[in-house]
Amino acid sequence: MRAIKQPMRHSWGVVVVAALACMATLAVVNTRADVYSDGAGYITLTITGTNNVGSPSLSVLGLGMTGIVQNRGVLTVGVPQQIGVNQTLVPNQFAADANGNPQYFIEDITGANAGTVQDIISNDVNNVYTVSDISSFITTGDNYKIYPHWTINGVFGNADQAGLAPTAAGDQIVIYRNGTFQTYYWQPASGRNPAEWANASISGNQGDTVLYIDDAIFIERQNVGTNTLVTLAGGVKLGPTKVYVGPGPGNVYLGNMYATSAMTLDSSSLYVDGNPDDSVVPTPNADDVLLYASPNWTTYYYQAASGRTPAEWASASISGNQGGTPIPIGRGFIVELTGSHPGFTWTVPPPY
Amino acid sequence: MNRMIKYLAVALMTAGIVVSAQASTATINWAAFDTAGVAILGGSSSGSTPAPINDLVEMGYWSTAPSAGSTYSAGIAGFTVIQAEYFNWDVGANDAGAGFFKASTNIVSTAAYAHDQIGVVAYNATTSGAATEAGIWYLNMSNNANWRVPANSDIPSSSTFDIETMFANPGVNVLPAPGSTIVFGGTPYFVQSDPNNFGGNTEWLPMANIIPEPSTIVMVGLGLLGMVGLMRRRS
Repeated sequence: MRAIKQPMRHSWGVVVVAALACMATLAVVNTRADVYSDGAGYITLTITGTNNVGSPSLSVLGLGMTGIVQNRGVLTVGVPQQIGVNQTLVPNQFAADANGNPQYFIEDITGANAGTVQDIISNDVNNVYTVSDISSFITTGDNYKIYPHWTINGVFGNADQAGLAPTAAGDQIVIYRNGTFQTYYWQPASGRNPAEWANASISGNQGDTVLYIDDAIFIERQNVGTNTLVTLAGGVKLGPTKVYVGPGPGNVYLGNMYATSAMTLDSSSLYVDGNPDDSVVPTPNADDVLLYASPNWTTYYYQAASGRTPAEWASASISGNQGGTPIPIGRGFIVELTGSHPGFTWTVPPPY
Repeated sequence: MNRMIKYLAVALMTAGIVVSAQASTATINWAAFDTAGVAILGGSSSGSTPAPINDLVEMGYWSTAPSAGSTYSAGIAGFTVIQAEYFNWDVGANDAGAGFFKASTNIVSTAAYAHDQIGVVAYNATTSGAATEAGIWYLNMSNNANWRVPANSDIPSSSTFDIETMFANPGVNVLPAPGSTIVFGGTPYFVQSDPNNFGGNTEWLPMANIIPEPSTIVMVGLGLLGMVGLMRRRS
C-alpha cells in the first residue's frame, strides 16, 4: 500500500457537490423531527409436529408483533364512533373490506387510556370511523397510530408460503370468533376450487380473515411429524395495551402481543388487586390462567392469602409461587372466567 | 437376508403403530384445598371432624349422573374411577392436612367417556371395602363445565375444579351453588375460623353411614343363626 500525498486541488465542481451535500444534510436535519422509526424485526413461531406428542399436535400461538404503522399523529376530537386526527388522510384508505371486515385499527398511545385500540370501518380526510365508540376514552392531544391487522394471508402467506400441510386433513388454523371456533386450512387447487385458504363452514377464500394481535391462534397439526417454523416480520408493539377479557363464565383466548418473553404472571397485571373490574379474581372461586407447553395445559390461579398459603400465583399441579412463570414470546394462553366474573379490561404493561 | 428385511419391516411397522397410537392427553386438576373440605360424621358448625389423613378419595365419571339423595346400598351406580388419591396428598410444600387434598391427573380421554359428568367419592378408610362412611358429590356440568371430563381434542383439553365450587359463596356460608348435588352424604355445615383449616372459614361436606345392602344383612343373619345352631349342638 502506498501513502499518497498530493496537494489539494479545488474546482467549481467540487464546490457545487459540497454545497449540494450541505443542503441535503440541512434538509435531513430540518425534517428529522418528523421521522419516526418504531422498532421492527421478526419473530419465529413454532408449529409443533406430531412426533413425540401424537396426533393432532397442538400449538398455541400469539402474534407477538404488529403490522407496520401506516399513519400516526395527534387526535383532535372524538365523538361517538368518530375520531378526528391532525393528519390528512386519503378517504377510505383504512376502510373495511367488501365484507365489512375491518382491515386497520387505531391505537391511542398516550394519555390516561394509552393502549386503547379500536377497529376502523372507514375514514375521510380528517376522521376515522370506528366499529365501537371509544370517544370517552380518548383525549384531544393524545398521540395515535394506525396499524393494519394481521390476516391469515399476512401471517401464513397468500399461497401458504409458511408451509402448512394442506387440506382439512392437514394443518388446521383454529381461532375463536363470535362464540365458536372457526377452522381454516390451505386448500390446494382442485377441479372445482382454486388454491386458497378455506373454511369448512364458510365459502370462498378466507385469506383476509383478521388475526388480532391479542388473539390466541391454535394450530392443530395432524399428519406431519416435524416442526415448522413460521417467520413473522412486523413492528414491535410499544407502550401498554388494553384488552377486554370477558364476560364470564367461559374462556377467553389471548396472545402475547409483545416481542419478548419478559412478561410473567407477576408482571402481566392479569392480577392487580382482586377487583374484578381490572383483573382476574383470586381464590376462592378463582379465575384460571392456562398456559400450554406441548402436550399439556398447566393451570394457574391467584391464591389469596390464607392460613395455609401466602398471596401468590399458584398452580393446580406445581407447588410454590408461580409468579415468575413467563408468558412466552409468540405464545397464546387462555383465561377461564368464573360465572360471576363480568369481565375486565386488562391493561397489559409494556414489558420493555 | 430376506428374513432380516422382513423382521426389520415388521419392527418398523410396529414402531410406526406405536407412534401413531400415541395421543395427546387431557388433564383434570381436582382438589378440596381452599375453603371446602371433607369431614367424617360427628362434626357441626361448632367444630369439624375432617376426613383422616390417608383416607381414600376418588375422582371418576358417570355417563348418567345419579340424582341427589341416592342411597349407597346399591353401590355407586355407573361410577367409574379415573384416579384415586388420599387426603393430605399434596403436590408440594403447602401441606393440605386432614380433610383436604390437591391432585392433578393426566388421562387419555377418548370418545367413550369424554364430556361425561365428573364426580368425587370419599371414604373414611384407606379402601372402599373397609369404609363405614362415604360421601358422593358432583356439580352438574351444565352449571359448571369444569366438572366435565375433557376430551383430548378440546381446547383446552383440561379441567380444573375444587369442591368449594359446590358452594355459591365459598368462605362465607354453605349456600349451594346451582347444580350442586349431594348424591350421598350428610348436610354441609360452616365453621368460622376453623383450626382444622389453619384458621380459615370452611365449608365441610360430611360423609354418611354406609347402610349395608339387604342381601348383606340376610347373609349376616344366616351366619348368626348358623353359629347359634352350632353352639346348641355342642352344648
